[in-house]
Amino acid sequence: MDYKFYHDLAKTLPAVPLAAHLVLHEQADPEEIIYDGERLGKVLVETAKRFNTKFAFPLMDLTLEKELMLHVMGLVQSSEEAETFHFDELPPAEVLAKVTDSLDVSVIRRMKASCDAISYVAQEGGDILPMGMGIGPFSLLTKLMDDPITAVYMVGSGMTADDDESVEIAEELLKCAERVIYSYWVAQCEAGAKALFNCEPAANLVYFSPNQIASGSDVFDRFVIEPNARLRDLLVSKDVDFLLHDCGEMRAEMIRSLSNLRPKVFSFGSPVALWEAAPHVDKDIVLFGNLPSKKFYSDELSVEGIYKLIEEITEKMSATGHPYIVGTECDVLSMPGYEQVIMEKVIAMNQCPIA
Amino acid sequence: MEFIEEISAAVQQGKAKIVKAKVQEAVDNGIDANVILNDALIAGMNTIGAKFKRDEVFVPEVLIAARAMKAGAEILKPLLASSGFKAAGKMILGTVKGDMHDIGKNLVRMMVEGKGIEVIDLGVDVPAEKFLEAAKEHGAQLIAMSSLLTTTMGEMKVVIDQFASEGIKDRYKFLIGGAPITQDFCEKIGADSYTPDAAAAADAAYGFVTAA
Repeated sequence: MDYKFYHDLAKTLPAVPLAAHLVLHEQADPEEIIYDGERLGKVLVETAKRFNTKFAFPLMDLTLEKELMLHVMGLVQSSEEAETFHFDELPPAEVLAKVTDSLDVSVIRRMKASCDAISYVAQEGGDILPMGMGIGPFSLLTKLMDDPITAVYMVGSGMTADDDESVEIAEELLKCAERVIYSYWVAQCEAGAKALFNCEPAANLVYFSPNQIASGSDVFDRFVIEPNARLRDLLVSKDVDFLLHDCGEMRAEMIRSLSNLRPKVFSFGSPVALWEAAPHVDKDIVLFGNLPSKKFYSDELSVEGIYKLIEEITEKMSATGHPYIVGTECDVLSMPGYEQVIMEKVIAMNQCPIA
Repeated sequence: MEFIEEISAAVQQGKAKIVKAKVQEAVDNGIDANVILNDALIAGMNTIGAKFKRDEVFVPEVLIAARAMKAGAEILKPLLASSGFKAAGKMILGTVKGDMHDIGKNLVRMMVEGKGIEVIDLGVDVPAEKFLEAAKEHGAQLIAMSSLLTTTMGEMKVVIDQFASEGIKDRYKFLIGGAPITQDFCEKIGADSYTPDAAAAADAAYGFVTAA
């Protein structure tokens, strides 16, 4: 799809929630469905239809790639083990070498189901856009180390592997992360994805100091932009649209760098107002997101409050002349005990006449 | 005085090796360990904390400074213990059950330690009974809980309810934080303080222990 496709959607779509998790948890057996591609695909189609969007946003499950990597390395047996695993030293070269860019992702059942769900959407979803999703390489790296912030800061200070072992661990694991993600993206493209949402939420102020970037460090380029650019090129080569999601807090220079990756859609969380991002993003890139959906459960954010936020975004974004779609800042998670109140707000935002 | 300023500056710059060397030098020159801790290490962290609040430094700089402070504090530990030193207070800290996120929690630990409060960090995915057990074992005054997910924040109430069911909730102050947390939620579950960031959490913790 060209940029015009997304511009046209921006003109016609209502406020769009990422709501697959909510709809999934309306089902009787959500924990079974995530292993069943066809049923998961039905959830994605139902979600897209119910909320009047052409996007079949997958579940934002950013744990899969880590599990695949550790599984291939032979370091864990289960997703529970993978969740808490951190590298405190670099594995031997032969273990690292097991992580290639052509891994069989079906060894992780949820990955296979995610790919099968994309196939289902592609075949049965009509004009709904089959979409892939995955974690970005830097964000995956942050899940692999106990203290990634210090390692990244040391890299940014010009330290090398000779100075500190954690620099080498970070550099080598980033390469592994890129290869795992490459494998998963290839699988999602082959399953029929026409666009892929790359979630890189760790590219933010927690991990990168603007002081370091301002002093001339290339750490943001090396750890975020370069690996993402290579992965974007993979999608371009397969005629699949590269969409980017970063719900973290960022400064202008970070937004500009990410914008230079030329995503078709650039999605933000509530820490970065769309109208503040707009001057730093190319005009043909559709901006998305912004509604603080993590707080939809709370009485502090009423439907009227959500309408006011949508009104503000609409007014300020219209003034920028930048294409945009009001959306949620993340996958809206179904929260036990608050299902109804969250769903009411998602429906209200989706039906808001202002958006 | 020269040592104190140099140590404080090295903490702020995150230079752990220099902090260690200078703290050792200061000790060797007969400077009281309490003075080094309070006027150099903690003072250095307080300066960083203030700069963080003003957006002059960012999380990585705070973290590096905290590491440097810790490196210096390690040298002082045996001296402080033998002098009968007591921390300003004790906090039990953890990310609640089902939640694996640790960045916010780790920042709170560093900022709170920077206030001279001892932190017993239980890690991530911590069940209610572990908070209770640790609070009793360590004689803590503060219980701090983190959750990044809407799906796990309900565990905070489970923890507080566990203390209440044992009739000891009032002995502790409960501090909570994390992206989805609101003041409204804090009040609903019976916590004592919600803070939106680590620096504010450290201030709140310090306020509680000094008011006690």
